[in-house]
Amino acid sequence: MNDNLDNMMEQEQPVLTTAEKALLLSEIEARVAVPVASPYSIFVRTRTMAALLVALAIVLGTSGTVLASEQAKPGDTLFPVDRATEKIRLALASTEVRVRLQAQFNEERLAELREIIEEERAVDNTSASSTTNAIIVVNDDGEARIGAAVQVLLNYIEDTDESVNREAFLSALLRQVDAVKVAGRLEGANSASDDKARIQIKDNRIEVREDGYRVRIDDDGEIRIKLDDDRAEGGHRSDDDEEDDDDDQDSATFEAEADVFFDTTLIEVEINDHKSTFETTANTKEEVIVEISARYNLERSVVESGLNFEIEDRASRNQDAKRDDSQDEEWHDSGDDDDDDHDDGDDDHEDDGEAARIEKFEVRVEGMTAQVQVEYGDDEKLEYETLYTTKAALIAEVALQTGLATANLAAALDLEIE
Amino acid sequence: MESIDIKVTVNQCANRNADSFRVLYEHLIDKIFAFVVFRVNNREAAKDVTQDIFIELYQVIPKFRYHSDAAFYAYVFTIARRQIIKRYKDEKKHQTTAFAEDSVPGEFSNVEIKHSIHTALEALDECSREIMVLHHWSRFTFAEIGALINMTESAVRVRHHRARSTLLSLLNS
Repeated sequence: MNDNLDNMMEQEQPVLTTAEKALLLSEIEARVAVPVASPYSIFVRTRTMAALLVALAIVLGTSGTVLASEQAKPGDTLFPVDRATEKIRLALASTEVRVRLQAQFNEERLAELREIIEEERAVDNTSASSTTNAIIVVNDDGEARIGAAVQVLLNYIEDTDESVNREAFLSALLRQVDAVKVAGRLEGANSASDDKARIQIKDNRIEVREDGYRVRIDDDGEIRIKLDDDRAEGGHRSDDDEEDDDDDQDSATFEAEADVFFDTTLIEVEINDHKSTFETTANTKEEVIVEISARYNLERSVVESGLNFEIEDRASRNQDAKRDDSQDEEWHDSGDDDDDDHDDGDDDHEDDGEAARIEKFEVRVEGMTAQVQVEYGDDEKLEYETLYTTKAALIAEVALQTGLATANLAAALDLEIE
Repeated sequence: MESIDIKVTVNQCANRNADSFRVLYEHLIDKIFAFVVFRVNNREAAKDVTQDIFIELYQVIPKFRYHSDAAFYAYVFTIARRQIIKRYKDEKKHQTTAFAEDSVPGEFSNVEIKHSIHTALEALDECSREIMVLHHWSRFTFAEIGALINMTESAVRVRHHRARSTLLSLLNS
């Protein structure tokens, strides 16, 4: 039936005919002023490609298992799937016992995977493992090993009796693998739905805290926007922090900034105006939250809401650890869109020899979409609309398209919210 | 996977090599078209959107810096998603019906299979549906899909497996 599904999907793959492809290509080339190739050459190429695709389809039909078995490391004996023995035990058991045995085997499989994931944990944040949905960071090799183990489990569950609750097994499996993140991969670039805005309603104002910025609406109607991490490259700062002095009068104040560099993570914590800094190997938001919570004995939610998490596109430098205290937060009036906060001309970009100067990086968020304008390098321009509205995702997207460093983009970003 | 050297081809495209652009077009056309048809549910609209995607790709490719094949695919699919949104918004503005989400796709030839597979796919959550489409129609590996949708390969594998099970049970019911 599985193969049947593959065939059905195969049959229903929407494809263009050779003629349609040729026509489409000629239209594209006409619009971008590329010389049009002869229809014959296109025909030959597309036919070749069709043949390759058919070959590909045949290979793909069986590739999952083959790939997985290739990925499984020889000698990795931590994942013995002793199915033969199990099958004998199951065959000899009564129906009732069989169901119980199978459930037990399933549980063992999941526990084995948990062990593998734990073994591959690249960063020690074991204190987080007691919390639900704790993130476990692994490296690329770890992910490969987990991937191979997962494929074995998928084959295993396919091979079990129909009466077994496969869905429950798969759900449990999914929960385990979803908790695994790979070190060094940008988080949040495509997960806008995970970024929940936090809204706080206070006596005289409303604050909306999103990943990367905060919007504050005072009772006199004034709207202010604060970018959480526009200090990424140590750009111009204002000492205008009096706005924050009345912030949270009713409780202890907590602010933290984590800068994740290639080689280390620097964390600056401010509790009731008392600042301290420390260095750690934690390099994901989750680990940083756990680390700060543990060090300062703070509630997770407090740390989470006050943390400004930055992934820097470079190794750390001496000056990163000694940030001037005057580099405090800065509130931007929403109407003031011609400020020079993103004039990063004096920034130290010498580590990136080919860094293009960013003349302008403006984003206007309107409802669910954002208008992006970037001017950089020698008169390069990029303008488009996107569904990404969180700062991290926008920066990642622009970095991908322009090749500019994320840290430089973060420093240059001028965000406006309609 | 058709064996083209993405890095070389992309760099040649950046230098406006027409032949390389055609090679890239042939490499990507089926992947992109399948994805677009699935998103816009209308074959003619999908052709237009696909055309716009390649035009944008041609225009912006000199700015792309190659890191890996997966990053390039992610780049292309960012453009694809953007063009789909653009099209959707344009259509909405002009209040035409050509791009209705629930319109009957003109793609499917075998009515019975079309109905069942299409209906079954619709029953999946969006993420699982996208994984099925990207794997079976756009022919991406699980690792590549992971890069496209910012997920680990394992997470993609499990979701794919579960989506298959769901589809099978729907088709059997």
